[in-house]
Amino acid sequence: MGVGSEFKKGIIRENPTFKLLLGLCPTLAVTTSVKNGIGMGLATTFVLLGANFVISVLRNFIPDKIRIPAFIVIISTFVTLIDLLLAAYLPALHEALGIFIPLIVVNCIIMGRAEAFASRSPVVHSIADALGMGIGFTLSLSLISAVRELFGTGQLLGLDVINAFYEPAVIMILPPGAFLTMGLLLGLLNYISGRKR
Amino acid sequence: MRELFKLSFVLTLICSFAALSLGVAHNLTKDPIAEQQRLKKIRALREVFSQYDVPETLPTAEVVVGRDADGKAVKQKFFLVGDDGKIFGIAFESFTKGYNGEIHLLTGVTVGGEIAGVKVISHSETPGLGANIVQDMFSGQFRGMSLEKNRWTVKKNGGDIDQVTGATISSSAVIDAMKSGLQMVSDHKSEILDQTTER
Repeated sequence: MGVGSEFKKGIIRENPTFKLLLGLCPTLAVTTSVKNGIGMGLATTFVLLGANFVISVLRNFIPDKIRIPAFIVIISTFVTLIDLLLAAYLPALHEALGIFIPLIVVNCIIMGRAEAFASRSPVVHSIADALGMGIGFTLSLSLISAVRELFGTGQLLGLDVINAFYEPAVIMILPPGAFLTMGLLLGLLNYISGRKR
Repeated sequence: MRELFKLSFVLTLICSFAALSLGVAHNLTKDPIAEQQRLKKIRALREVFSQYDVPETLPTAEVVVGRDADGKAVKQKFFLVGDDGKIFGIAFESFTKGYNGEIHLLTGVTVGGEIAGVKVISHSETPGLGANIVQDMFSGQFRGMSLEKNRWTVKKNGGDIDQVTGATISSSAVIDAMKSGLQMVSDHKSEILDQTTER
């Protein structure tokens, strides 16, 4: 496959959230507002880029038997780097994302892409894959968090949208709302793609 | 055996590089992070003492305020807020148990024994309900309240305080923390002012 289609596949055809169903734990936990959703998506994209790049460069150097511990060390190094850099130079964003930054370590999208793609693909392809998967993840989180924020608070990005004539259903920004939104969106998307076929 | 050495060697090499880059990053970001945390504290104190001029550096005091279950002394750190040696307020951080976990508060008390202000630094209360304790509508109402002139319970029970709708536990946690904070400062005021160390 060409670099272009490696990039494109992560956005719809192999979307990490709605097609691969990877990284659902952070997805369900952070999507209480669009701001959190986008922030988590971008931070994950950054880690994905760094990890995919380094693992692809080192793919012939890391023996198969110890690849998993090696990947974990590389991934957690990037996560810690981002944590430190954000705390030092973008404290406002660091505060908004809080606990979600260290949680990127356990996001299985990153481990999944390292294992399934970067460890057996050339560097340029791995970067394209990371960018596509990252953008796909960010878009999915934005969609889920937009639905939850809109129905849970009547706002979008903190601005009043339908507050005037709508009584917010707090359950949507509580944990059950995450499962409801995820399940209904997943069903809707499967229905649409099923009809196309 | 040879394979074992090779595997250990590669993993050690990767870990060493990871450790090296984290060490460098830590050294580079150590000072900016410390500076950001200092600024954050000053910003919070300025929010709490919004009617006063809060200087950049503040003296602190550490006072034994009680004993825990094992009889060990419980120490509390206080910031003394003032200008030109004249102290007009005492601030302290405290943790109180809310509905979903600890609520981290920064409370300011004037030397006259009134609440100067309170800021919720962090909490994990329910979004849309208990989380509203951060709103000025709730936390702003404590400004000017004192032990003597106010009734420290919610209006429903004949007190002076508006609770957050639907969040009785979160509201009372903050109310109780304010009340016991005022009590603590009034009990230990002379010690706090005596033990002050310039920094």
